[in-house]
Amino acid sequence: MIFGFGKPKRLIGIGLDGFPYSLAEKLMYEGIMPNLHKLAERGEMKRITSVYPTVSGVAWSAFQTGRNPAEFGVFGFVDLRPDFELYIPNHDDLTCETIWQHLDNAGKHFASLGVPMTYPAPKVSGFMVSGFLAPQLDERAVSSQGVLDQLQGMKYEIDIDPSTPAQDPERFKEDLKRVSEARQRAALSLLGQEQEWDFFFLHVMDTDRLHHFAWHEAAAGRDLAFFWDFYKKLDDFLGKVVSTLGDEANLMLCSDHGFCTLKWEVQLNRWLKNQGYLEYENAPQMGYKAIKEGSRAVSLVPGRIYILREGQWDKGVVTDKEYEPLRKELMDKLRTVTHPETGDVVCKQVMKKEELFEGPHADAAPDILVDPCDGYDLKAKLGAGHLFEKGPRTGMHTYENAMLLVGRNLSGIAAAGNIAEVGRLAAKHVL
Amino acid sequence: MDHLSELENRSIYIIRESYHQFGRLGMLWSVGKDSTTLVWLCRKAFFGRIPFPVIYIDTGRHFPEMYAFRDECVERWGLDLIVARNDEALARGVGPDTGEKLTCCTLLKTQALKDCIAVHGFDALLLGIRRDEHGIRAKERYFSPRDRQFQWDYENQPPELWDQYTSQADDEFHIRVHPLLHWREVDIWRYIQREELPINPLYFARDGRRYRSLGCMPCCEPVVSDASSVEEILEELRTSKIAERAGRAQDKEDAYTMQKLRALGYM
Repeated sequence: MIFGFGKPKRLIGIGLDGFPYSLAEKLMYEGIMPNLHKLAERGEMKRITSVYPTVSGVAWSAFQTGRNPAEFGVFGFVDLRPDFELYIPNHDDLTCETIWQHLDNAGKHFASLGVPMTYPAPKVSGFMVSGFLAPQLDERAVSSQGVLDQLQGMKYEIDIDPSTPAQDPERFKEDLKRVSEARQRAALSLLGQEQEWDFFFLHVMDTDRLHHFAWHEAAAGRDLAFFWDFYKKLDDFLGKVVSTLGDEANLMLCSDHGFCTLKWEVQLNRWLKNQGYLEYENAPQMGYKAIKEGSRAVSLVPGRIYILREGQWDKGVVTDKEYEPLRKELMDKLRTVTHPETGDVVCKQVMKKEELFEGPHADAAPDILVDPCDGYDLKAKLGAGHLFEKGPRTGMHTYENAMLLVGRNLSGIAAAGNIAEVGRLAAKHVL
Repeated sequence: MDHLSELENRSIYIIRESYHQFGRLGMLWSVGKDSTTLVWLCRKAFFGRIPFPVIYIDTGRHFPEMYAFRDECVERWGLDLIVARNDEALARGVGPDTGEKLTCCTLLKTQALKDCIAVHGFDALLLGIRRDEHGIRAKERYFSPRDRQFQWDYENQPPELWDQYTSQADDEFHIRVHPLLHWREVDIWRYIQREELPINPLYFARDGRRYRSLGCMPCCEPVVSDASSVEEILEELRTSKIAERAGRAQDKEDAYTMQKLRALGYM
């Protein structure tokens, strides 16, 4: 049992993916989100941090298990096996019990909509539909056939197609609006049901998508209307949630990471190649299997660097004796990486795995984890032509500046300092 | 009229309609059970000689039994065979074991077909897909337009009510025609049994396993089975709860997921 006991109470949670504390403040000052403002006035609102590595898959895994990545065993949206086969971890790969299993065991009436890393959806008694990375709304993405029927009737969609923004920005806006409205409609319909939920959690991925593809434009004052309009509608939705549940409802809003303007994508595998730590024997576009024996390090998004140790990796050559000196050498060099034109330092923090991760999967954690400076998004494209590149995305995740807002009856949850603690304390509140 | 004859009639009607509607028609033939059934239906539709080419997309990774079966059928039925192949990608060594599988599929299948359509100027292609194969295929129509990027807008399709088909589209589209859409897996096997169709030996069990769906060697997993004849396969289908494409589903799902991750910059 990972969660504590206490007097069980109901909880309604909304997870706004990548919604920064500083943006919440701005939206309230500007009068764009009056309903959020009311909630913040009545309750407690604070900055929290994300988890390392700072991607939604890991952050929401931390939320639903209340644990750190070395305990639940997932370090990114993709991971590498020792034979350099890339794989996509999903809910079945989480090695800790989740809040959903606890709620199910406790016979609670609960719903979870769209939380990342809940695919395939566990077949629990609650109303569950998976979020990112469920390929489509089908029987594997729901806890039961009844849930699927209900959501299809509501024209619910899991996510937008993230390749659309680069190809057709106008269609992206339409898609985001449609998916977002359907998500809100479904949530309101479920919240309006006669039987009260012991725990209801809605995850909104649309905020993250908006920020990835429209952050810089909005920050620069271009196309601000679309950005503001999105948040006005989100605020209307919050208003409807409050009027459905009543002012005294135990409502919690949280985000899993912050966001900032993306200036450059930094291709760490290019850097490793430039520095002579990584070589390919085949065309690198062919994937990680193209890595040549003799290579000493490789990177995965975001900022994960793996040292190819003998005995741990199929082509690993770094001996135990060489490991620490090599890691120190890499860390020292990473701290000196700067952009050639701006002179900006790229790496805010360069950390060893043992500083961050503790648990049965600590061996599988990246040997070095880099937290970048704002504006420099750490990527890992194999065969990238340049160290600094531009892509279609204009916003990037930050470890700092996530947010938590809780109603005044939820001061126990307000003690949380990061997204994993939010999950742990939320579970403690309900169970 | 019995069930199989009704299915056959409807398919032949769609095949003939397509031939008369489109200037340049071709058919995709993977040499699997469905598209081989479609070849057979096309022969019936035109009394023994198919008046358009059959296209085989060669990824270079197919089972040797597939190439042998293809050549045997071409000779026996006098087919006008076009082999579509992305030689440039094959020369670069593109394959499922050297990189991401979606890239491999895109280059060796999709691009090869795009090039083939461009070279031969096909207005429409016949394909042997069925509605019951996969959830997304349930949304297909008999006549389904695709744009130049092969995009399919499934929310904006002609309804095809009461057997009224829309078999025309704008110039920038080619039409995919699906004469077997209404068949089920079990219908195909019953038809193969009734018509005594030749069938690829890979479908029959060897050492306790058989292939239920054929594709490239590295991406197909055989299912556990002792069915070594059409009769035994039919009996197996009666009781099986395993999806037909189970041996290939995860791979496709991962490929789709990776495409999303790439668009978001996580790969």
